[in-house]
Amino acid sequence: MKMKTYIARRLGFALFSLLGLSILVFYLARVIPGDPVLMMVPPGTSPDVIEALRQRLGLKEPLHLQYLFWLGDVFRGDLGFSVYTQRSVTNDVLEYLPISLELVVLAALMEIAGSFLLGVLAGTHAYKWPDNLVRIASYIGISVPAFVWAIVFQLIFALQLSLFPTGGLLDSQYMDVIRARRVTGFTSLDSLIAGRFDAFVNFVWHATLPALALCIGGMAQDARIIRAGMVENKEKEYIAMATSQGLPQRLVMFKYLLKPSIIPAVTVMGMDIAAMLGNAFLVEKVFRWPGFSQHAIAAMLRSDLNTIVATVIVIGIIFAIVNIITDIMVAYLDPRIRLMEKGE
Amino acid sequence: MEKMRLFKTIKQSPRWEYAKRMWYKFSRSPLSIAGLLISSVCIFIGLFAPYIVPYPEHGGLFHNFEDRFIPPFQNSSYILGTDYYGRDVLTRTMLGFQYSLMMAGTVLSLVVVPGVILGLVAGYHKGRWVDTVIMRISDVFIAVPPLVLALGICSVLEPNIFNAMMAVSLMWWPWYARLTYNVSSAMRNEYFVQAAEVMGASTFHIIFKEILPNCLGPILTKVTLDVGWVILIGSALSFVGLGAQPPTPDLGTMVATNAEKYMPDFWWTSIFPALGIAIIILGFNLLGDGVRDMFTE
Amino acid sequence: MNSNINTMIVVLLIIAIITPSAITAYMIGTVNNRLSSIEDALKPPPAPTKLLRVGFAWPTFIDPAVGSDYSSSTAFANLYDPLVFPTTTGEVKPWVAENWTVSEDGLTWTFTLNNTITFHSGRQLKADDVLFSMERLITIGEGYAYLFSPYVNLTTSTAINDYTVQFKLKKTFGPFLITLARLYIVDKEEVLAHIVQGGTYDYPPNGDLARGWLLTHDAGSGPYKTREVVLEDHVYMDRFDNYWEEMKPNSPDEIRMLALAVPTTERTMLLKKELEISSQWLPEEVLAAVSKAGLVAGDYPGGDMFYFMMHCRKPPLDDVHVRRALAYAMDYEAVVDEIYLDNPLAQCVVPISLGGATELTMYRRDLTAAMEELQQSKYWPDIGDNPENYEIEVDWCAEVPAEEGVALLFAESAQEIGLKVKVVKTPWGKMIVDMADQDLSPHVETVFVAAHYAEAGALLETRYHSKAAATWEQNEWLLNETLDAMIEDALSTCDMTERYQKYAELEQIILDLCPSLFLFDHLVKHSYQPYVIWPSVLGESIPVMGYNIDGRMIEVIPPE
Repeated sequence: MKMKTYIARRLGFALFSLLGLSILVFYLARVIPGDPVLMMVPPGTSPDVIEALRQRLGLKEPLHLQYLFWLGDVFRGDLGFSVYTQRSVTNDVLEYLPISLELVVLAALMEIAGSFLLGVLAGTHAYKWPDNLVRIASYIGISVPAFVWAIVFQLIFALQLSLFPTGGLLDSQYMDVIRARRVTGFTSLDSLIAGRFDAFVNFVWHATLPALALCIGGMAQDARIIRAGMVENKEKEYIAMATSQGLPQRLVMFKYLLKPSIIPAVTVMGMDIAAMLGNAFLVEKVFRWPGFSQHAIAAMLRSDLNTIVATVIVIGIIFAIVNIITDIMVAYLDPRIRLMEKGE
Repeated sequence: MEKMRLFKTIKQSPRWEYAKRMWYKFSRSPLSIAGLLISSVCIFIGLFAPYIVPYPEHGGLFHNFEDRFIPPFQNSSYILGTDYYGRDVLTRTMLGFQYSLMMAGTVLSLVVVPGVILGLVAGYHKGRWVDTVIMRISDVFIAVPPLVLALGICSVLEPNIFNAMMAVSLMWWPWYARLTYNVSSAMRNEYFVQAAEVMGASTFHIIFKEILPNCLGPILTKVTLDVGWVILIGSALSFVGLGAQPPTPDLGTMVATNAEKYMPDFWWTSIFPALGIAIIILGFNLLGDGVRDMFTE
Repeated sequence: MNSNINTMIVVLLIIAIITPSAITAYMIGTVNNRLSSIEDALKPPPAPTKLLRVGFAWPTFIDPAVGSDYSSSTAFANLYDPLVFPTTTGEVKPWVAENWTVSEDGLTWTFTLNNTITFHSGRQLKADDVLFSMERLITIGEGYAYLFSPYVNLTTSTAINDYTVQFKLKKTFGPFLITLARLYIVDKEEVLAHIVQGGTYDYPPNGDLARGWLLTHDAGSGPYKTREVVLEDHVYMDRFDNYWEEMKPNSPDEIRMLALAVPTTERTMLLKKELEISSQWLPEEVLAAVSKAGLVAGDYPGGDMFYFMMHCRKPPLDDVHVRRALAYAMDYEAVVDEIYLDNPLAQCVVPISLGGATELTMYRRDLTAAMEELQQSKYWPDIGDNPENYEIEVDWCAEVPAEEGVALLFAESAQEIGLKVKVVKTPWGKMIVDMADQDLSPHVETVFVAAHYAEAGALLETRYHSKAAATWEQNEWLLNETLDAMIEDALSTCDMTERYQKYAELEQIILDLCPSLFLFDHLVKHSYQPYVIWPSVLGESIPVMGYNIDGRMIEVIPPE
């Protein structure tokens, strides 16, 4: 089947699962302990005001009606009202999501490149010292939670060695300029659009430590999977055949060995990267990165129902997109899947 | 029952030969042996911790404020130092092994089998409705942020470790389904599968006796890696008040709560539990590599 | 095909690892005059002459009709002017209101305003603005509105002329004047210019009363005005040059309130001199550690008390003897020696710094007395023989880890008189919901409660009057009509001496009733840079929340 039809079909399914997801989360969000109105107002507030607030926020309707109202609003682009920030959730998403996305994209690029390098290095020199070195490094990388890396990096590189900033998006003198000329909401893009390359560099400098902390665990894991795949496939007959036919080792390595070896890694990488958005909250807190993940968790703890649902939907959409991309890549890497699809 | 003799199937060897061959492949690498030893020690500690730790009561509601924050390697009574409550870090780390391993073991045993089976079925029937249904359902569960799911479950039920494990399991199985799906669907059109189909082998046979053994490599690698991930997710849950309730010595919780406040001044309260996690992960990963080597020709 | 894979790897390398240095190299190589800006980009920024950066926990609502917590109140103190200003004794001094008169019956208050005050917008502050501020506060009903809504009659209150405003009350309220320290004056025209119609908040005919706009802007006259507000991250305020009052010579040019949530990050920022004053949430040990590195540890009374609120309708705590037994068993000294270091033990049922709080003979650890009380209870001897049937649950707030230690000490103390205690870590959200329901409330909740204004009556009302029974400031469920009537009577007494006397009576009654454990008067602790001169931690603190980080009074003299 053609790529376009494939993508369209997948998107259709994704929408369907998102709908199901929204229902699931809508219900769950109401079951979470905590009363958003009680947490919003000080304790002395009169019960009349509290009741009026509940009315305003639509919390008094029966559950299915609340859901339907919400769904209707979503189609008009309105994700509801956030009791946590006291403004529309759409506003919050537009403000915080790009910031997290930038971080995740940088971390994803670092993860892909790093795990490829390390995995291929270890796989092609299996059982020798580069392999063992990579293995040990990867154990250390996996076994420590991302935010502990964040704290350690901050202490070493920002405090002790003063090589990197402690946190935040930009130094304040750039912040004023970039915010005033906001176009996309992505600090990196905005600074390029504004012609301020120095701001762009400053931003990348600020983003390096948190991105590194975020991706190290995944990088270590993926490197191992790539290595494992390469070691396993190395023994396969078709490799032996290619080598015996006199093909140069490098060609064998990259053309025949790498592709099938990275299929499981691509799968896991895709899911890791999509999960990064949701799991980044502690790293964002440590580096004072005003991102979507830390906002979502904070809102969750305050029972901000609309933000909770919106978060899940946003992450769901991103997951769906990443999954589609992953599936496309797997199809590209394994021609038989494509051929099989065609044949059907 | 006569077994099919196909050039890919390992299980044609008589059992003892088979076992010896497996062991040979496993023990080729000294690191795998090391892994076996380390994981055995971890499991041993996990099983017998309450009997071998110096201060078993420090795992519970204990406090001794006079002995708080003693640095490690300075006091013979507290080799690895003490924490904010004056509890021995060595004791709590070892008790943490028990707790964390139990949690990882439970979750993985609940998750791997259903996830793998579903992934195999979806992968074999790739392109048909079975595939679509299974994969889309797993998409839904993957996409729910773990904390929302865990919060939801733990609020209906009591916030304790058992329910947290349920919550973690619910969000974990799709990863196995997905991985197995991708690997098995790539394998679906290999010659040996087609040969089996042509020969009239049942779907059950094909899936479990032909495809599955060849998927075991990535799956086992993932299982060994997941021992660590489950422990780490457990710590994230504890962070928002679910999962391990204090004072339960969960390694992930100890790392999270102590790293946030007491790094670097009282580093030993978080570094040693982190080392504990690292040792578990190291041991199980090395073991997993050896196991995977066993399944490679 | 294989060259594709090779290319892919190389491209990834370039993007992920080499890009930052490539860009740098490119820019250095191609355009010389960019060189200096790159260096600048990587250097720490030049700070304005006097910068005060303070750490805060989010959320912070800078709208004076919406916010009411510590960080919001600090923002108000800097962005707005209140009608009267609190002093170190708790009494108030003239501020926006220069002087005032009260009618005989205590129901009419007339205020003459200072006519030299201008708002940040340039307009003059007039009586209309004061009246509007009160109207807006009460209409919205959140924030500090609860201090005024039961008492102020909006329909009959008027602006008599440009600089005189008159408030009429529905019933007498003794502490009325003091509560006016929470009436922040907003610029009426500025607010009305920014109202939005048809949103979630609607107060016809004035739309949302500019709630949306005031999330990120201010309409005040205070010494500082907002420059930039990013919710959940920071509030930046610049000095207002046309401020009507004097400010200290070295007071900051800019105040930045920064959201800080992780102690290690805060510690790093303090050590790198990126923060002048820490948040109040640094653990004791971190405070001690950074003090060794040259920072100063300062504290001031927070005006709140740490209570163990006992559910007086849940057995076995429904028996006063059991409650007293626990009060005598508790190891108070250990709490302030080990966990909340140096916080002064409670001397009254409310913080002693509040007006009208009298020194009483508080319960102190006495195991003999504890056993005596226990044996007088109706549950004795069963409670002694089968304590597991009378298990007492203590819920502590997950967001405040130090509370766990106190809860554990309580459990240990209870054990010494043979009682069983279960310690449960509870997220704040769940605590609020539990405490709103008589059945869901556990036996004991551990909470810090602050007085809403600097008088004992404020706390007596919120802690023990039945109208506040379902809030998080109460878990006792006393629901005692006699007590209610006494509290109401005290609050409506206009004469201060008389009022204080009534407070004293109430305090003794409550002490005898022992519905709570009264632990200590909370000391708010901060770590700050040695080049900051901060009167509040040097003995001149103001017992009203938010006024202790006041840009007027703090001086910043950064070293060269």
